[in-house]
Amino acid sequence: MTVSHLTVEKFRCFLNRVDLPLDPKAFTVLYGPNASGKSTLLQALIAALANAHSAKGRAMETLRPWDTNLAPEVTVAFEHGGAAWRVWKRFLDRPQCRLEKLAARGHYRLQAEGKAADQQLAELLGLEPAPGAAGVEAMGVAQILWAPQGELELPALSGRALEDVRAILGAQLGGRLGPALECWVAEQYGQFWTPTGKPKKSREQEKAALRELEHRLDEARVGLAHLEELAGAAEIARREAAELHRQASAIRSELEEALQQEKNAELLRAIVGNLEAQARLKEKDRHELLKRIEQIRDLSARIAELQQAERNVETSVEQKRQAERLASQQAADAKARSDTLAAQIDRLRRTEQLARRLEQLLGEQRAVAERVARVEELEQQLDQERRRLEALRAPSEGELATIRQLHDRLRELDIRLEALLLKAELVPELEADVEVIEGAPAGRHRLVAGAPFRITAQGRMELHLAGFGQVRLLGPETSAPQLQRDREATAAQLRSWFERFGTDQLAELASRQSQHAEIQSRIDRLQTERQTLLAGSTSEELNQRLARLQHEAAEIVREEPALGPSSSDELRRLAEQSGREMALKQQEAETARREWEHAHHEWQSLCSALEVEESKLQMTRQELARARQELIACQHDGRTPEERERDLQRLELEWKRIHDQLEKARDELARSQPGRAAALKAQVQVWEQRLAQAEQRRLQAEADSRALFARGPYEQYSNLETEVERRRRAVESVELHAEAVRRLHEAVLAAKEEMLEGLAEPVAAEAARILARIAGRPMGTLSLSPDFTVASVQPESAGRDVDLGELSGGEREQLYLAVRLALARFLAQRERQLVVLDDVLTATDSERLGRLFDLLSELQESLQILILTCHPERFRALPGARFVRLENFALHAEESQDVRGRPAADPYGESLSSSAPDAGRAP
Amino acid sequence: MKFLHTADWQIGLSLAQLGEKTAEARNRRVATARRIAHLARSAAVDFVLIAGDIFEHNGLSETTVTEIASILSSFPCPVYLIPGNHDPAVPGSVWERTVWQECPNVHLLIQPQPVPVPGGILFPCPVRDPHATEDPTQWIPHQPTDQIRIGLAHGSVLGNPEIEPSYPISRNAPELRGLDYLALGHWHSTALFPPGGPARMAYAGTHEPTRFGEPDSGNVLVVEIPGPRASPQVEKRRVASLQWLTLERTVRQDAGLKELRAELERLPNPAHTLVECRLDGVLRRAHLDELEPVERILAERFFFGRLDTTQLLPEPEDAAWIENLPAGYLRQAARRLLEQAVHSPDPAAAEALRLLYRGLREVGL
Repeated sequence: MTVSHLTVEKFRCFLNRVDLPLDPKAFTVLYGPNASGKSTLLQALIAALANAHSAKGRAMETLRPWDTNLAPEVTVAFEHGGAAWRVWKRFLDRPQCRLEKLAARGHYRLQAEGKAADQQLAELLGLEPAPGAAGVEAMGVAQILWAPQGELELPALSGRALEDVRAILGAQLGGRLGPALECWVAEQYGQFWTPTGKPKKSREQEKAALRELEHRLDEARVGLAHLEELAGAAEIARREAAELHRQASAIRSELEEALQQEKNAELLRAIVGNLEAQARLKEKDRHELLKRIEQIRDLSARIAELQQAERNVETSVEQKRQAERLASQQAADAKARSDTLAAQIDRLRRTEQLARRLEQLLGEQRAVAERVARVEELEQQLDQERRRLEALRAPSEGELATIRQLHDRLRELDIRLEALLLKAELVPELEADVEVIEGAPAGRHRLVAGAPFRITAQGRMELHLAGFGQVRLLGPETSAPQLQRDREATAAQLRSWFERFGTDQLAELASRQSQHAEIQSRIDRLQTERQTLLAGSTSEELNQRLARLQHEAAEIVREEPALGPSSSDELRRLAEQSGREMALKQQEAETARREWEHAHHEWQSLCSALEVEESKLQMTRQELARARQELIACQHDGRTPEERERDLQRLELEWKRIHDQLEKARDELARSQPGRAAALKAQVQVWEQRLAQAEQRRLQAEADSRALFARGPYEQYSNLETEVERRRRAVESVELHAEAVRRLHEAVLAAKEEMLEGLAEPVAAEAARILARIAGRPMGTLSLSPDFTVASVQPESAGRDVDLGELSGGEREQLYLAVRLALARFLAQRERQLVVLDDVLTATDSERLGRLFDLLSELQESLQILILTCHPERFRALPGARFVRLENFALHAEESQDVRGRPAADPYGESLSSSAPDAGRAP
Repeated sequence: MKFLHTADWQIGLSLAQLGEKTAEARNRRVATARRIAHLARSAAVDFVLIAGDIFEHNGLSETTVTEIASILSSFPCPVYLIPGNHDPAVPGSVWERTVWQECPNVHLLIQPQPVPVPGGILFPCPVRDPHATEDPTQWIPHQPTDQIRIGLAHGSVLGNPEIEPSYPISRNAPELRGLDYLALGHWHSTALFPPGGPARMAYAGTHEPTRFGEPDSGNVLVVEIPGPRASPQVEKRRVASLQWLTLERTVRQDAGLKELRAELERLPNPAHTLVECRLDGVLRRAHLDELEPVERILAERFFFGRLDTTQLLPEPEDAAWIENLPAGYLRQAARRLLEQAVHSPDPAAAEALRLLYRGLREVGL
């Protein structure tokens, strides 16, 4: 890529538009003093080509002119890939981008705008639009060709830049066919593989479909195998059933034979049974006869024994009867003694009890009599007091209080009537008449001079004084008659009370009332004492009780006259004496009771012994009777003992004969096989059961087999197999082809990669040659790492690798420049490239600088070289260079209306003169 | 006595390897069965013997079984047939289908019992157990009579290493069993025993070949026996409609593929021919140009064609076109692929090399 025009406006130090034409084929030295914006131009160039127009951020904000809010704009016209392009970008405010391509008639034609323009430009230059402010590292291969101020050393290339460099250099290594074939291989590869090397989804789907079909085929195959197994199982079941049938038949034959044998044995068993019955009969007869003989003998002996025993027991019974009678008499005597003593004891106990009861009754009788007497005394006193109370005619406290109230009321009414009474006393000086109209004495009255005349009236008094006139005296408005009526009523009540008690003396009444209270108090006390003595009873009841006590005492005396008229002490002594006598009698009675018990026990023992003996005698007699009866029964055959012996011998001989016959029959029976038929029957049942089961299995297996065969599974399997085969061939064909494509792709890439790995070597050799040209002598060898950084330097003089720090500043500067130029030469083989050197070679001496200029002059054939410097005089010796003073291109703001058009004026008219023949030439 | 002996029709055979032609190839087997009926009529045989494996499997559809039953019904004479190991008389087998009740001339011989046939007596040996290891003919009593005694069995004649040793049949079974002729099935190629002398035992072979490399199949036998203990006259008749050819060629010379192409073009009756062409040898640049027409001829001209080049390797010395490539990574890649293809049987590497060659041609080499 080469640049033909750069326009910058409102960009950092360039407030106004700077319109800078550049000659792609020329060597340009753009100069200006410090801070004139040389590096800013390089920054503007990078921003236009590498920054997305919509880029934001603090770094982007620094692109604005200082202290302004203006939106920076940059326009770059460039040539790339054999075409001329122009890009215009405005950043930050209303950002915009426009990409144009030079058409045939010299006019730029719009290719894209906005984001699409960013994208197309990036694809064109092989860059990624930077979202923020971009540096030279975002410029792809341009980071090799463009050296910012103070950064001549080439940084380690990485990522896209390294790939691009390798691609550019590698494309040359592959010759003419290389890129085309790579494209073809990539196209083939893309048909089968993803960029990450995975199979394409369509292939995976095909394989998955094949796997699914294969799976189904396997299932169908398994189904067929299962079917064949079922068929085999059915055949096996059929054979098993047949074998079982055969075996069952054999056992059935055996069973029939065994059944016949069993019939024969049954007959034999009947014979044996008959013989056994005969033998048992003979044996029974013999045994019975033998038993009878022995019984007769035993019974005869037994009867003799029993007769002797009977006699002995009879003697013993008689003796025991005599002893029993004696013991009985002794026990009766002892019993009589004991009873007599017991009666005496009872009598003494009764006497003691009666004495003690009588003593108690006498005490109670005395106490009750005393209480009766006191009660009678209290009742007399109460009668006296009550008579005094009745004679007193005393009011009660309430009555007295009422009388006092009436008395007080009467006095009050009198006072109030007195207060209502109007009193007038007339004392005339002269005799005169007065008429009392209202008042007393009423009527006309003659007044005597100097004599007082008194007139009274209740409430109102009216007089007529002759010669004087009417006189009216008015009292309180209370009704005097009402008061008078009240007084009379009260006085009447009071009189009634006085008449009732026979006196009108209130003090007398009060005295009477006091006496009444005292008498009443005494009555209360007497009543209380009486009640206490009675203790809830009445006097009659108390008297009745006394009578009962006296009656009971009389009854005791009647029962026991000895207790007669005795005192309590006498009674107590009598009771004690009876107690002592009773104790003595009790001891005697205990002794008598023991004697009776002993005699009674003796008697009972003798009775028991007598009963035993009598029972024994009874039993002996009964046994003797039975023996005699048995003997009679045994001898009822009427045979003699000798005859019986002969009968016995005859029976034994007959039994022996039958027994021999029986043994012989039994031997024959033992030789038969009892139970064989039953065992065989059980076996037959087992075999038939097995046979039935086998038949069931066979039928089931056959049914299963038939059911599955009826579905026609083989044709389904066959069709599936055909489909699987077809798909498998297709997949295998595609997979083989895909694998071949992958192998080819990998082989081409691997071969290229290997070749690129060795690419640093020719670049290093070229750099060494360039360095030797600059130095004017061989500078030794250098090697580059795969990312094109300087790995080692071996100067000829040193004969070994030296550290870059050991080189002088000028040498390092020249070394870095040599590496960049070497790479630039390789890159320029494909397309002419712009090389920008911003204020470099400051440490190179003039001699080496001269040789470098010669070299640059040669490189001018394939490179567009732009040098930015504040020391243009150092480059005066550069052949063919065009010197441009930066200040000449700064336009006024008002002149920068169309930054995308042609420059407003030709700035080269003010170019610094140089030795170059074409200096100041218009672009 | 004159009869037709056939066997191993294998109706319903999968033939999946034939891809799209599978169904048609299956149909041909049925069609050939029909032709056998015509042959029986034209040859005026007394009866037909089918020695098992009429069906490939017992699990065939009713349609298929009915079609075969129909064909057998169309035979102009009695047909005696036994089950084989592919269609054994197991429960649910094709022989239990009701369609056979409608074929009065077809005699299913399921039990090993003598059956009278026109002019003699037949001893059938049906296969009931597909995994039996006993001699199926052992039940036949050696009782010489004045009738022609014929056996019908399905099994492997002992001594033939190419047949699996199931249902073993002694090589002198006719003598052992007193048979005038023992008609066999199971072996798909026609074979007479003893091979040199008058045959008393024979495999008719399948009526239509079942695979590539199957020798002398596609026949039936017409047998005529003049009388008891007389030597049978056995005549082989070809009935197959398809021919299965296997061409194995080693490509060593530049003209090798051209010759193969010409040979394929000369083959007669291609519409009824299946060709499997296996190539080995080495790959030359010139071969690449010739492979495509061979593939095309195989695919378009024949009933079925297949080309197997997996054993066709690039020739190590044939690196002229590689060395003629411009120096650079392309040549290096080509060398590497050639090395992979030559030093190991790697079809992918050989294919990649062919692909590279094709790519170079397409981009203008």
